[in-house]
Amino acid sequence: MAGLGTIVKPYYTVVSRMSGNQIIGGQSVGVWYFDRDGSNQGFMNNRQFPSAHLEIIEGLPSSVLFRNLSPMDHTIHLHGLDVDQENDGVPATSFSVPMMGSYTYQFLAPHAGTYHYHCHVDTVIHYHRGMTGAIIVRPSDSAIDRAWDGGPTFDEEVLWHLMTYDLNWKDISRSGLATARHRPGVFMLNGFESVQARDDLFTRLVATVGQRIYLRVLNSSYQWGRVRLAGLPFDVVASDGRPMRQVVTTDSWEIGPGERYDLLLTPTAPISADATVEYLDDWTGAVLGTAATRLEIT
Amino acid sequence: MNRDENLSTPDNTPGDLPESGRRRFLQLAAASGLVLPCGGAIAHAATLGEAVEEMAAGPLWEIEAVRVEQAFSDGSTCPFFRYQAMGSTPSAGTVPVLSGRRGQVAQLRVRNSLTRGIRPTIVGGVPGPWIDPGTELTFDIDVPPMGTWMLTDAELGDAAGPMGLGAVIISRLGASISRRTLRSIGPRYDREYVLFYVDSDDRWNTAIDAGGVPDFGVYEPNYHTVNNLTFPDTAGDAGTTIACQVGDRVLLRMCNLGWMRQSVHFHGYHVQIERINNQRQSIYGSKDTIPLPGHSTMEVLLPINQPGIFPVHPHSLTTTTDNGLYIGGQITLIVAT
Ligand SMILES: [Cu+2]
Ligand SMILES: [Cu+2]
Repeated sequence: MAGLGTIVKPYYTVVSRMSGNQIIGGQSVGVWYFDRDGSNQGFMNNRQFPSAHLEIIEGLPSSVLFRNLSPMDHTIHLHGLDVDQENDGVPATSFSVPMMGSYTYQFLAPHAGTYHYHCHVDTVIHYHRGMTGAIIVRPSDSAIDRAWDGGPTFDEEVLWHLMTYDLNWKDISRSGLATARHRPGVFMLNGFESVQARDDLFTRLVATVGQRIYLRVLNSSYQWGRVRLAGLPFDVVASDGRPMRQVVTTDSWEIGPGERYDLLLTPTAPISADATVEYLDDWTGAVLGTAATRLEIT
Repeated sequence: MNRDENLSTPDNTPGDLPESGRRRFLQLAAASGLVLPCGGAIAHAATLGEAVEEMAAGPLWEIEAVRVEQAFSDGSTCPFFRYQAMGSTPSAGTVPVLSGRRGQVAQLRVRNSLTRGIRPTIVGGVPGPWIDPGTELTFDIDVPPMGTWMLTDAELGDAAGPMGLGAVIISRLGASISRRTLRSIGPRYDREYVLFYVDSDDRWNTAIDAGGVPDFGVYEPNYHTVNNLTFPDTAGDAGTTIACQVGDRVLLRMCNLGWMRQSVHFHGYHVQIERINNQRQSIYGSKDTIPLPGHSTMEVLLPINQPGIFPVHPHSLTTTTDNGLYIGGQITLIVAT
């Protein structure tokens, strides 16, 4: 299941790190991220960009103990979980957590689905540097092969962070004139460009004919992303942690920054091709760049 | 008994924050350490056209096109052309909100105080009449079908949005039907607010302000306003802060006159998209982040199921800055008591 479903529990410790490193666009880039339970690693415990993901259980009181072991204020905003003001992680309406400080964010896990968390301090910078992760809410019985109580079941499950990067921003620690315009030059899936993402165990889509692949897509970039699964039709079954009012069957779906969509793919024939995300320019609609991974159905 | 009849103050103007609510907001804001804009904050009561709407013969809408040099939190300024309310026309922030009923013919009186001609036009409609600089014109305009519309300027074309030249038109049902109904058979709502988004690339605005032509091939906006304001001035404006009470269902008329393809995130709540460009949508369930294309309007129902102060902002995060400096831009607040 590509790194998903192995840890499902209602409480986590999340530690902020500002000393991460990742190759982005061929350059060694200092990244900031949240790890899970002190692992000193980000996404899937094997890279530091983006942040680690969390899996919690619908209906349970849940908590994230945030320990700030980095030399700047940070917060955790639980994007889409509709938590109360105190636990919303917005400095202007609650508070930020200072260096060496900690806070336990508490909330009731909402409807099963795909959610998001990120730092909300100087957000335009902290988010771009990598303080962005996914939260999966499992159904109330903790099932890892069903989307929600009464929802679709699946055989394989993959999580995608859509990400773009402006290398001119890489050494910037505070927002200002230099961050007025985001001009992405690097286009990624789960922190990897196509050359790495193609074979990445946690990104590629691998299954056998007739199996159902559940693809959770979080757009954590500053551009819209258009998802194509090599032209195969898929169902858009949920968004932002709720079922779609109407399931849409399509071969392409566009996802805005901060949105999440859950896609269900049931391939009917073998195929070996690229699944892609095209990042789009707001003004012209032109494709700014593409990230690809392998779709391998045997 | 329907929801509307339960309202204790059925004629409470939408978006109008009672004095007690205003005080409560200030208390909440103070308690939360929220920085409020000092002096000169714009705090219009947003009466959303109720007064003019009552006129049997169709409303008189009075606006003026003006040039504004707006200052931002980073110390920079940018020129805009704006419609502003004239006479009794209500506004949200500084955006005129023109209200009428479907089937009415409105009289639109426009004073053009710009140094260039304009053609006031409903987005998606046929270009309106030419108005010379320094002159005033009154003309008839059909109130569009029920919904949320934007008035802009056909003369500036694609640049009218970035220049900020816009107003909001709300078309309601006929007189015999409750104002607080989105369509003839529900859903009903308790309050309504207008959120009018504009994004601007200062290179376009500066070129047009100087009488020139911008490079239309490149558009990278660096200023982002809601109701012509940026945070925290949005939080000090009674027409822009979404003040409400637990149990309310709030109608948001979201208008994007910019060209950014927005994806607007609500902290604290999931919302229901009712209509996009005045067309009913039946695809999306409840969402916390909603797609709002450029030059489009959207009607959204926000059920207030918890108290608190929660931000609403687009998630392409340069939009939450003033010329790159966080925090500013298109952040506004829900204040639920
Ligand atoms: Cu941070
Ligand atoms: Cu967010």
